[in-house]
Amino acid sequence: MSETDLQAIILTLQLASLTTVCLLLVCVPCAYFLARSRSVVKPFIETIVTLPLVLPPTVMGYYFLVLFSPNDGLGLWLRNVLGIELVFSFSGIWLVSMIYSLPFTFRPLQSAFEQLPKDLHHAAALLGFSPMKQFHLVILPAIKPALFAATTLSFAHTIGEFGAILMIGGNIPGETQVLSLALFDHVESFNSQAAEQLALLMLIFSFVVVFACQWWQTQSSQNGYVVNNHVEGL
Amino acid sequence: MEHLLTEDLLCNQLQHSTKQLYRTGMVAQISLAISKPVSQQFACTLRVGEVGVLLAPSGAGKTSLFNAIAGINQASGFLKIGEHDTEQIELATYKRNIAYVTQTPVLFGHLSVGALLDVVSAQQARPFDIKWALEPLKLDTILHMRTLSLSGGQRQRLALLLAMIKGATLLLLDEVLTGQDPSTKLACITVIKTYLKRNQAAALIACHQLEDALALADIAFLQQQRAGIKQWQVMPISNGIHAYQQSLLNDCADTAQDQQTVCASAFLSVLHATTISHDPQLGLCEYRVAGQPCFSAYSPHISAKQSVLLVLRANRVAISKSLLPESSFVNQWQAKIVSIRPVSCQGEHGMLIDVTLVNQGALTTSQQDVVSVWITRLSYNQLHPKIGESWYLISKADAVSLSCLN
Repeated sequence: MSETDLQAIILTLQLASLTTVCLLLVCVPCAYFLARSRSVVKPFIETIVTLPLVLPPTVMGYYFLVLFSPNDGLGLWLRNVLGIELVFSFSGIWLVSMIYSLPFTFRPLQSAFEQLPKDLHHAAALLGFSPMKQFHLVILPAIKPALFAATTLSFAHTIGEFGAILMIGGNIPGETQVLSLALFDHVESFNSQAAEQLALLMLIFSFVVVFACQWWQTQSSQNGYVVNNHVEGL
Repeated sequence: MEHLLTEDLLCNQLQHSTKQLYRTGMVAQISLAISKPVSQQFACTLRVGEVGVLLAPSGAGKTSLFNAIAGINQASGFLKIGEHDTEQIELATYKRNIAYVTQTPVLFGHLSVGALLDVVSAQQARPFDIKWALEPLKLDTILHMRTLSLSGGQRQRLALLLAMIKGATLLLLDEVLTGQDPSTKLACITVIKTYLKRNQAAALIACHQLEDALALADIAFLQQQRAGIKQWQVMPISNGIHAYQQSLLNDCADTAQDQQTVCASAFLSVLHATTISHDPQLGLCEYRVAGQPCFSAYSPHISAKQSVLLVLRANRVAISKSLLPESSFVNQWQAKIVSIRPVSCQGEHGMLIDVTLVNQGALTTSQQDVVSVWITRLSYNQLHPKIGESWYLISKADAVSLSCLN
């Protein structure tokens, strides 16, 4: 395996880890409030969140490129005022990964929160749990399988990203070249042995992730956790 | 029987007498007006160890009332719990000095019974020690089991135990004895009473089984519709049970369709009695009821000169114009007919006769228990009993049972 490939693997793992952690921090409270919400804008928000599932990655990448272009508009303002350049940078591919993997984190969590017994909050409050303790001692442990599914799916999905990253990040080795782009490079340059290695690595990884999700759900449903089929549900 | 008081009147009375009441062991003062989902008013005061039962058919708003007291539903009024006269109405649910066992308890399915007890205990500033109750509630052998795999009865008993950990001064129990077999039901009753005594607490319960109500409660609350608002009227448990059964019968007669199960022949009557002796050889316990001798099947749990409640079913007693000296009816009490009512309800056709026992004791008593007797139309046509007449109420010893209350 070449140094460029190793760089791509490390960069991909960094990107996937950072994206997953940030998505969890954002999605857990948002999914919780949306699951309990009866607002009329709820279907609209759900549509926005689900959109990256069906939107071609290149379309999303294109809009990002237009929106954050450093020559005008928001991109120009970000560069001049905050000194941030999102196009062809790690920050850019991190942001697009966040958006692209959003439904894979958000929907399992929202679904799990919606499946919790309606009286669970009242039951916890009646036993003396404060609202904060209700959340971290009762609600979060009850949706542990959904948290696991959201984590693994968003991590795995970020690792497999291609189109959107190519559009916003280009294909700069050591900076924006992730595993899927490195594989694309090897195929283009007819380096079939290196391509085979990377493809097999990604195949095994994806299989392990999906299998772990399924196994965890089976175990969890037997142990009284709130579960739904997060993999098939997507 | 106390008269129904309006909310404002009761509020004023309670506020003026707060300090005096607490000196006499008062632990809860409640006066609430609830608008949703069932519009109702409720006012009561409860002393240490006292248990009040809400007697009303399904849909009357018992659970809504409990939810309001616990802080789940909105309510206005006041809610003072504990020795220090702490106002609870403005407090959030988790801060209230109230423990509530709901009709269908939600337990945290991902935890084992032991882990759940530990987690709940850790949330309390001063958790109430419940180790003594594990064995009688038959939970000591299932501490390792996940709450998800518990049976309905086990879930109810665990919910009761969890509520007790909170150490609250007011316990709300919604159908907590439902689904329990007789032995565990008795254990639950004993545990609840022990908790109330140890923790200087009181309880409000809702239950449809009148035997359960009788076993636990000292006072009853019945609903009355006044100016479009349901108001709860307080009365002694024996009177409450009689009045509630009569109201069920009235509802059954008023509506063409039978909306609830009413079995007039199985109506319960309660007698205040004093124990005299118990004889295991004869298999009998002897009491005095309104100065007249009374016998029940042997029970080892009583002592002499003890005040007890005896329970009779309407179809287990009969009336006779004269004494039956050469018969197996060991209970033959002189009684006076106070009402006769034809009943045609839920396929039953007969006469429900209410009698009061003629007091033959040296001391006069203010408590005059009413006993309901179920007879067939044929017996009624043959005997022609009339209101005001003196008859003998007859029964065998096993028709009389001792309430768990004692």
